[in-house]
Amino acid sequence: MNIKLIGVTKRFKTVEVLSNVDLHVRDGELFTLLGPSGCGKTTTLRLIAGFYVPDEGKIMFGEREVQHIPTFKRNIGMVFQNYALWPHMTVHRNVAYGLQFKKEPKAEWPRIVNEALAKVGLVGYEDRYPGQLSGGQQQRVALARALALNPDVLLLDEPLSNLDAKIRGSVRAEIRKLQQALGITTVYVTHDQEEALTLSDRIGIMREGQLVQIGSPHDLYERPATRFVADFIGSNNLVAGKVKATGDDILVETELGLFRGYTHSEMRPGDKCTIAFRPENVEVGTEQPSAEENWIEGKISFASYMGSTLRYEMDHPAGFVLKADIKNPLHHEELGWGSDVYFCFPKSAALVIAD
Amino acid sequence: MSSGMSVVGLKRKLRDSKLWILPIYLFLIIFVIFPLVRLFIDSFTTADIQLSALNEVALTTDLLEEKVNAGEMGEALAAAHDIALQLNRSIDVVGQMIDALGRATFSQHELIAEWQEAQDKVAQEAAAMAELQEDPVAALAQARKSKALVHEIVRLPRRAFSVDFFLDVFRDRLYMKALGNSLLLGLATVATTSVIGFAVAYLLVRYDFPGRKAYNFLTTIPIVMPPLVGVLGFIFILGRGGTVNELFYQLADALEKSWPAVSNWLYDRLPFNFIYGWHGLLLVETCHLFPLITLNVVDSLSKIDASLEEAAESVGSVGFKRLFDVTIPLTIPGFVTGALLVFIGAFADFAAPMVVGLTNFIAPLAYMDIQQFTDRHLFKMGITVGAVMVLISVGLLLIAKRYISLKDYTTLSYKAVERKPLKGAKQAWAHVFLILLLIISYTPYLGVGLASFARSWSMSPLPTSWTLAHYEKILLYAPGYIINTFQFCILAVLMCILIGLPVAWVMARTDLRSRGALDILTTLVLALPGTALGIAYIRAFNMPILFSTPLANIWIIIPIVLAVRRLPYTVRSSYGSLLVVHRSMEEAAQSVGAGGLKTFKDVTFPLIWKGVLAGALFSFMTSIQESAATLLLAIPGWETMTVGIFTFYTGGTHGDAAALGFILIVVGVITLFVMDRLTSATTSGGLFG
Ligand SMILES: Nc1ncnc2c1ncn2[C@@H]1O[C@H](COP(=O)(O)OP(=O)(O)OP(=O)(O)O)[C@@H](O)[C@H]1O
Ligand SMILES: [Mg+2]
Repeated sequence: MNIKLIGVTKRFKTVEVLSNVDLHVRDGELFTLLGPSGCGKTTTLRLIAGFYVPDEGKIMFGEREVQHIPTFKRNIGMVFQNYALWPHMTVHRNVAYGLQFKKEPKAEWPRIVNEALAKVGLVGYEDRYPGQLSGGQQQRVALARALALNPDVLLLDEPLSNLDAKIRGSVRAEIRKLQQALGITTVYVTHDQEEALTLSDRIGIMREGQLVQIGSPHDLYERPATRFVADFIGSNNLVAGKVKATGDDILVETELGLFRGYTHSEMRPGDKCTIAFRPENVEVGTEQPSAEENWIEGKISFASYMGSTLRYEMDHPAGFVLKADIKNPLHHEELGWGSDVYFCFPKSAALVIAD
Repeated sequence: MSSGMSVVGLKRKLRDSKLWILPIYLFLIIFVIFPLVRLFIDSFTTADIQLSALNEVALTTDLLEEKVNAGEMGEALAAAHDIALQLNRSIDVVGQMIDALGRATFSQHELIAEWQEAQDKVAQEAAAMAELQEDPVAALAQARKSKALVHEIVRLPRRAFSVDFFLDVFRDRLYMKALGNSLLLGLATVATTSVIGFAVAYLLVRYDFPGRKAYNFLTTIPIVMPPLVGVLGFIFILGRGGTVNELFYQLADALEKSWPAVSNWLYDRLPFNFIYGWHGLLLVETCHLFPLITLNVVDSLSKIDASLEEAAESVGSVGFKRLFDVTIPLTIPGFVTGALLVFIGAFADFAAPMVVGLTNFIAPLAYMDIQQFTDRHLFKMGITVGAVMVLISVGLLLIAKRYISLKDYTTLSYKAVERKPLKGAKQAWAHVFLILLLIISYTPYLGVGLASFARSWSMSPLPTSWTLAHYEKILLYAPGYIINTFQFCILAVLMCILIGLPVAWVMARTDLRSRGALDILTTLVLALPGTALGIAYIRAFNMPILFSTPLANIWIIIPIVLAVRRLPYTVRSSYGSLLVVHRSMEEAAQSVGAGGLKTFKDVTFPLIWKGVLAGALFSFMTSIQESAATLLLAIPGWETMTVGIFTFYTGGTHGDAAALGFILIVVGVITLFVMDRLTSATTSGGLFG
C-alpha cells in the first residue's frame, strides 16, 4: 500500500503546524520522518492514522482518498510512544482485542495472537498484565498488537524513545528485520538521526512544519540539499561564504579564507552559500600544507577520546569551532590543548550548498 | 568521645524509629479498633435475657414495705400478691438464662449450676410467699429475704461465648427482612447513581459546552442533605399535599369547565404518589448520592491517557464498544470507591425510609433497639446488628479492594483526552439532562427553604403566610445546636488533620510495616456505617476508665467520633497531595541541610496544604450532616444540629427543623464552594483518589 500526502496543511486553532506537505511513501518501504522536536512529525503521523483531519490537501492510501475516513476504517497498525497498552487487559487480550472488529472467527484468535507474539518473541507472556512487563517487552506487545491485525500500514511514533540505550539497538534491528520480512509499508517517526540512518529505506527531513528533503540515508548524508540538513544529519563543519568563481571546482570566499569545493546545484559567482566538510574528512597536521589544498589554521581547544575515534576541536579567532576526527587513534600521537595545528580537507570533501 | 557517639547514635535511632507516630497509633487503637472489638465481643458473649421480673420483685418489696408502714393493709396484700406472681415469673426467667447458658460454645457447667441453685431458691421463695397471702407483715419479712436473694442473682455472672448468640439475629425473620430491604436499597441506589453519576462525569470531562464549570460545581452540591428534613423537603414539594400535587389540583379546577375530560381524569388520579414507597426512597437516595460517583469517576476519567483510547480506535474499536471495553474499565478504581460510599450511604440511612413510610430497614431497627432501655433482648439484637453491619462493610471492602488494587494504571507519558465541543442538538440534550437532574436534586432545598420561612403551609402550592419565627427560635432561644455543631465539627476537623496528615505521611513516605494496617484501617472506617460505629462507641465507652464519668457521657466523645468517621477523607486527600510532591523535592531540601521537620514545614507543607485543606473541608461538610453516630451518642445539653432536627421533627415543629436544616444546607454549600475554589486552583490529588 503506498501512501500519498498531497498539499497537506494542518492548523491548530490559528497556528499552522504543517504547511503544504507533499509526501509519497512507497509500497513496502520503511519511511522515516526525522526532525527536531516540535517540527510536526507526530502531527503528520496522526494525519496518516486518521486522528486528525487535514485542513487542506489530500491523503491517499493507494487509490483511495482517506482524509475523511475514520481511523478504524483505514486498516492501520499503530505503535504509540508510550505503548498505550490497556492496563486492565492481559497481553493476550491486548493483542486479540482488535480481531473482533476484523470479523475474524473466534476460533482463529489464539492462533493469530500466538503468531503475532511469536513475531516479537513474546510467546509465553499471554497471561501477564502490562504492568508486569519490562519497557522493552511492553514495546514488543504494542508491536504485536499492531501486527496481529495484518494492517496495510504500520505507523510508529518514536517507539524506542522510552527504552534504554542498550536494548534500543537490538529492538531497532528487530523492527527492521520484521518490517523487511513482512514487507509492510511503514512510517516511522523519530528525532534520532542515527536511528533514522540505520533503519530507513528513505527519510523525510522535517523542519517547522515542512518537508525539507526526502532521500535515502546515503543521499541525505552525502548530498544534503540545505544547510539545515547538512547540520542535522551526521556532524559537519559549516562555514558560510560567497561563490567567487565556478567551473570544475567552485571557489568560495569565507571569513576563514578561500576554499575549493564541489556542488550538486547550479551556482553563480556572488551567490551566498555554505561550505560543508565532515570531521572525518579533515586531516590534522602541525606543518603548513601546500597552497593548493583547503586548510585552516588554529589552536586545539578540546580533544575527546571516544575509543574508535579521537575528536579535536579547534577554536578559530573568527568565532568558529571546527571539528576533526582521527580514526583509529592508536597510531596517532595526541596533540596537547593549545597546540598550533592545521585542519586540512580535500576539495572532494568540501560540499558547497546554496543558501 | 564514645559516649558522644552513642548519644548521637541513640538520637538517630529514635528519629528513625519514628516514635512520634505512637500517640497516633494509640488513638487509632483506642477509638477505632477497641470499639469494634468490643462490639464483636458483646455480640458473641451476652445472651441478654430479660431479667426485669427479678428487678420487679425488689421494687414491689419496697412498695409493700411502704404500704405496711402506712397501714394500708389492703394495698399491701395486693403487693404481696404481685410479689408471688413476680417470683413465679422469675423462675421462668432464670430458666431461660439456664437455657441460654446451655447454648454456649464452651461448656458452662459451673455457671449453670450456680443459676440452677438460684432457680431452686427462687422456687422456695415463691412457695413460701404463696403461703403468706393473708398476712402482710409476715409477707413483708419473707419479701425482704426474696429481695436480698434477687439482688444476689442479678449480680451472678452470665457472660459466655457463643456463636449461637450472634446467630440469633439471623434466625429472626424481622431482622432478616430488614437486612434484605437495606441491602436491596443499597444495590438499587448504586445502580441508579452509577448511571447518572457516570453520565454526568463523562459529560463534564469529555465535552465542552457553555456552563460546564458551573455544572461541575452545581452537581456536587446535592451531597449536602441534612437528615430527615432532606427527605421532608421532597415531601413538601412532591408529597401528596405538596406543591406539585396542589398545582395539579388547581389545574384540574381550572380545566373543569373548558376541558372536563382532562379535569376528571386528573381528579381520578390525584394526588400523584411521587414519594411514598420504594420509588420515592430510591429517588431520594439517588438525588442525594449520585455526586459521590460523579466526583470519583471524574477523577479517574480525567487521568486516562489519550493514547489508550486512540489505540483502541486504531484497532477498530469505537463508540460504545470502546466506551465499555476501554474507557469504563479504566475508571473502575474511582468508580468502586464511589459505589462503596453510595452503597453504605443508602444502606445505613435511617431517616429516609421512615419518612417515606417504609418500615423495616436495618439501620432504623438497630437505632431503635439501642435507644430503648426496657428490653435487654432487643438491646442485644441492636448490638449484634451493629456487628453485622461491620461485617458487611468489611466484606464490601474486600470485594472493592480487588478492583482498587488494579489501580496502578500508570502510563509513561501523560496527555489528557481533549474535550470535544458539544454543539447543536446534542448540546441542547446535555443541558436538558443536567438541568432536569439539578431541578430534581434541588427539590429538597426548595422544600426545606420554604418550610423554614412558612407560618402556615397546607393545601396550597406555596406557604400562605411567612415568618422568621423559626429562625428566631433557632438563633435566639436555642442557639446551642448551632454552637455545638460548629465547635464539635471544627474540633473534629482539627483532629482529622492532626491524625490524618501523619497517617498519610507514613503511608506515602515511609516503608514502615504498619502502612498496610493504616491503609486498611482508614478504608474500613470509610466503609463503616455511622450506626455501627455509634453502637460500638456506646458499648466501648459506657464504663468509667481514667475519669469517674464514662467517656460516652462526656461531650468530647462527639468530636472524637466525628473525627474518626471523617478521617479517611483527610487521609486520602493528604495522601494524594503527598504523592504529587515528588520525593526528590524533599531530598533536595535535605541535601542543602534542612532537617526532617524543617523540610516538611518549608517544602512539603506549602505544596500540599491546599489538598489537605480541601480534604478537611470535605470532612467538615460531612461532619455537620452526621446523624447516626451523633444521635446514638447524644448527650443532654450537648446536642448538635442534626439531633436538633430530630428533636424538633419528632416534637412536631417541622418549621424549626426546617430552619435548622436550611442553615445546615447553607453552611454545607459554602464549604463546598470554598473547597471547589481550592481544588480548582491546584493540581492536588483527588479527594478520593
Ligand atoms: N493538539 C494540539 N493543539 C495545539 N497545538 C499542537 C497540538 N498538537 C501539537 N501541537 C503543536 O504542533 C507542533 C508540532 O507538534 P508535533 O507533536 O507534531 O511535533 P513532533 O515533531 O512530534 O515533536 P516531538 O519530537 O517533540 O514529539 C508543535 O509546535 C506543537 O506544540
Ligand atoms: Mg512527537
